[in-house]
Amino acid sequence: MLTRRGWAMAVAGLILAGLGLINWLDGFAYLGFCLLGWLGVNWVRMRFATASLARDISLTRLVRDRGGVCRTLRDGQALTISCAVINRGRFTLPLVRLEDRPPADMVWTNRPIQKTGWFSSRLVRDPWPAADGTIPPGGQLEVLWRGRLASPGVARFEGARLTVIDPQGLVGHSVFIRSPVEMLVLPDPGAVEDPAGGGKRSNNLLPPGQHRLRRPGGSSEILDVRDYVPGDSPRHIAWKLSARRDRIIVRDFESEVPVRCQLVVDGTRPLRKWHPGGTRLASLATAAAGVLEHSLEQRDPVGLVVAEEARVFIRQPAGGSRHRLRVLQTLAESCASPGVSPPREEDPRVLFPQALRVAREIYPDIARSPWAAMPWRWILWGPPRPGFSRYGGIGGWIYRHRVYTWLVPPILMVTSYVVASGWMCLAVPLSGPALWLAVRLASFFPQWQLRDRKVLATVLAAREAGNPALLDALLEDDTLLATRLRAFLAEHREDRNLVAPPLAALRVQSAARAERLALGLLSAVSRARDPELHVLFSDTEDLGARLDRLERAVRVSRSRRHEVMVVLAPKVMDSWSWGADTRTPAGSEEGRPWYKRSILRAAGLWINRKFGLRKGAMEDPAKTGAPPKPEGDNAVPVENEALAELRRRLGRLGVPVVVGKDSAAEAQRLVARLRRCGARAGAR
Amino acid sequence: MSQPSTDRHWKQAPGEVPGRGIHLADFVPVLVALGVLFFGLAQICQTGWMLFPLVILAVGTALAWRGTPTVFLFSLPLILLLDRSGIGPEEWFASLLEGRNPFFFRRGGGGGPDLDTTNPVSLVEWLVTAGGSIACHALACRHIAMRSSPFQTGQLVAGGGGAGPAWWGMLLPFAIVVTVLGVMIGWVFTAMLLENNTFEPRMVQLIRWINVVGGGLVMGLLVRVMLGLVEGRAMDPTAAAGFLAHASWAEMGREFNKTDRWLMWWRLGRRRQAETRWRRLLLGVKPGPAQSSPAGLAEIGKGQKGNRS
Repeated sequence: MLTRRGWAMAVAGLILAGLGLINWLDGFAYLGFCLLGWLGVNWVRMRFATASLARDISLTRLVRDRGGVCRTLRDGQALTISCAVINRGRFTLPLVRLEDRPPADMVWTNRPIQKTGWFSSRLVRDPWPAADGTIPPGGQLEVLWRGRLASPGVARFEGARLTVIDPQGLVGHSVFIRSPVEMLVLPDPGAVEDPAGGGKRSNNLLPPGQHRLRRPGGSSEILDVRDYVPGDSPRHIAWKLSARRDRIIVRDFESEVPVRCQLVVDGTRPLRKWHPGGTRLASLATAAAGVLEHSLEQRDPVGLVVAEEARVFIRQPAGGSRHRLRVLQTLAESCASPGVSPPREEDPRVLFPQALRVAREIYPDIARSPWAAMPWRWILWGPPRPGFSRYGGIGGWIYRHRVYTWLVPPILMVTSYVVASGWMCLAVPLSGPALWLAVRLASFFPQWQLRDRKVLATVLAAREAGNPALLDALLEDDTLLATRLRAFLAEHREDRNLVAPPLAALRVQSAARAERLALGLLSAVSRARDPELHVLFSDTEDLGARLDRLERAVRVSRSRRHEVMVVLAPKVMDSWSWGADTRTPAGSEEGRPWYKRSILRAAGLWINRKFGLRKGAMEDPAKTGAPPKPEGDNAVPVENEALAELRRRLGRLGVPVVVGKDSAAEAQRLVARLRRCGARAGAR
Repeated sequence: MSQPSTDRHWKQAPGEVPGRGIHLADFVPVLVALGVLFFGLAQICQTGWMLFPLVILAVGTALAWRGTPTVFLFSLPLILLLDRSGIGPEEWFASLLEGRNPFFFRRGGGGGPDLDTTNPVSLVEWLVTAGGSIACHALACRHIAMRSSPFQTGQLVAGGGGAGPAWWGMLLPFAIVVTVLGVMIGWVFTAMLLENNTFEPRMVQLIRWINVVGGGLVMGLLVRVMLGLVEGRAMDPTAAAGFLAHASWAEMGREFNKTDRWLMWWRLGRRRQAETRWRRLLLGVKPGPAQSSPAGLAEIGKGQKGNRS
């Protein structure tokens, strides 16, 4: 591929050779052909040096935290990423730029500030960490950068892009070295509340020896002394101290009976919806990790239940660092999973910009190859196939029904024969080409989109071992293409800001979130041995449907003398104020390619953004100072009503509801208070 | 390992040139190439226009301006044309000051000698000019790349950027000489071949042009075939699978075309009709145990309609 300087040399050579031809000047032509020949020599040399680049280059990646190289990461942890390539070929790569592709949720912390000026080069919108240098045979080039992950889940490092140009900058070649590495990003519990504040001073569980716990505590550690309260066991009276103080003093022993805690996390799809600060499930996982850490500090066994639409993940309550790591891994995997969704009838064009960007970044050898796209001659002269898409507006409708244009000339011919019109006779031979041209022009954009569709279908078929039948089906079936594109983006962890798929027309099972949460709670109850603590992590959005099931499950739990607590995710407004993620959601006007944008709509959006004419439009919170309303004007009142309803119904059962940005800390405080004040099942 | 030290890499400001000062030793090859080009241009030009590309290259390289090689290349045809007008820069500026038309040139009225394939001295003059031009361009590019990163994709500093291999400096003059000599041999050969026939001078140029362009295309095809073999052997498995999928699909499309397409469209149309019937059925019936919320049902219907075009 010629660089701009290479093209300049080619044009200068052609000018000189052309001047020589026009003016009969041998010298000019000779000089021009020398320049063209020099360009050709460099092109051939560079192409041979980089023909086997993808095979000759090997990539190694190391992720380090403060303790050294690590395989499991933590949310918010400062990381140093090292990406090195080694040249195993025979040619020296004279000028090389190595760019490391950061994962989707990773923030490049030491990103340099881009300068803008009169003569500055074209700025890249989202540059990757990079290093320049020369790689001799056997040598290596390394790029070091620092970053942190913005939310729990999975960090996927796809690989690195290597750009090689010759020493004169005439010819360049770029290749993406695919070396995917996935690392779990565990939720960061943050600051754990003071464990001493939650010390088990008195445990209102059944006394030791009278419960079904297999390993009762020894109660040998004296925690405190206090005055006698009627009801205290005479065994705990400190007789010497009582004689010395002249009143009855009772010893408080530390209860070593573990308080089992089960975390029931709602993992349904609405919680996976991407907001600028991250998903609500990520914030819930962080809160659950906080409660987990807090309980494990007390040596209490903690279990986990993640309730999704189609499955429930269960971790039995246990203690220890290994179990802690497993629970955190389950939380992270749950955050990273895109959720199970059946194929749905959907317009795949909404996913095109995001998928094309990912395909061109990760699979440039396919997506940018000349054979992957639809040939231009098909766009201009009309492909015999493919072309089925039920979307595309009026242009798409015309394109789908283009075959009917062939009926017009015979109809005109018959009509002209019947009415004996000379003008109509003249129109018969002209109607075919005229209609063909009109159909071509009217359906130009749907045909253009076929190019993008073909590129994406080829990439998807290449990942399926080059199945040509799949390629053919993807070009014809919208639903199949949309489903595969969603899976493709989810695999590359680029499905964060996609538009949600449409609701299914038919459901074989209820997807009501309260029902799934109730199922998770009941599964926790069924595994409980002693009266224990169940903490539910969910969200009020769409929780109203089938709330009676959740209420019934809570009743069951309370009747078994368990304690239940509900932790709700922060509201949308809080989520918006968390991070400064300004990525445009796919499917919006700004995320579309230019040929799909409506000029009037884009102008209206620009005017609204510029002058703030319409209330509730997309306003910049940094400028207005007011929190935006991303989900419409009535989103927050509806949410408040749902919260009040939930509090009212669960409050009757004695279940506290915690909500807000600091829900993790508040939940920890509540757990500690529950332990301290003895508001356990035995106190009822 | 050509990676700079980590501290240096992070501490440097974006766009800042790494700590490599201007050494005279780095500039010496450029000066030598400028000398060669000066010698060549002095033989084939008669006016002072020949100094302009030399000045542009010297000043631009000293200032490490990235556009210098391109401006230098485009100045070559310009000054050769101006020189052919026979009016030097001093005379041109004088005519400008006197109010005469400064854009009037006597075409072919002056200038140095053209390339004469029968005169060895002329061949050497043009050889030196062509070699000097290419050498000046190449060394200026290399010198500028050493002082500022040639990459346009980011703003990070170049970590030892431009530090080419040691043999590159020795190979460059040899490659340039081979290139200009090869083109000259072809030139002389075609001139000898065409002189045996009675062609007009204009036809000679045209025939040479066609031969050179056609020969270049043939050579390009041969190189492309060899490159294809090398690239095919080193191709990534995923890319190879994509290529095979495309090739099989293109072949298959010739066999299964119209009828199968229309059958597939018909099947999809039937499916759509069935889905519409389900939707109407759902909207018409009372909410059952699976869907207890009428608002949810209305939303389903709205969502499905919203996705229709």
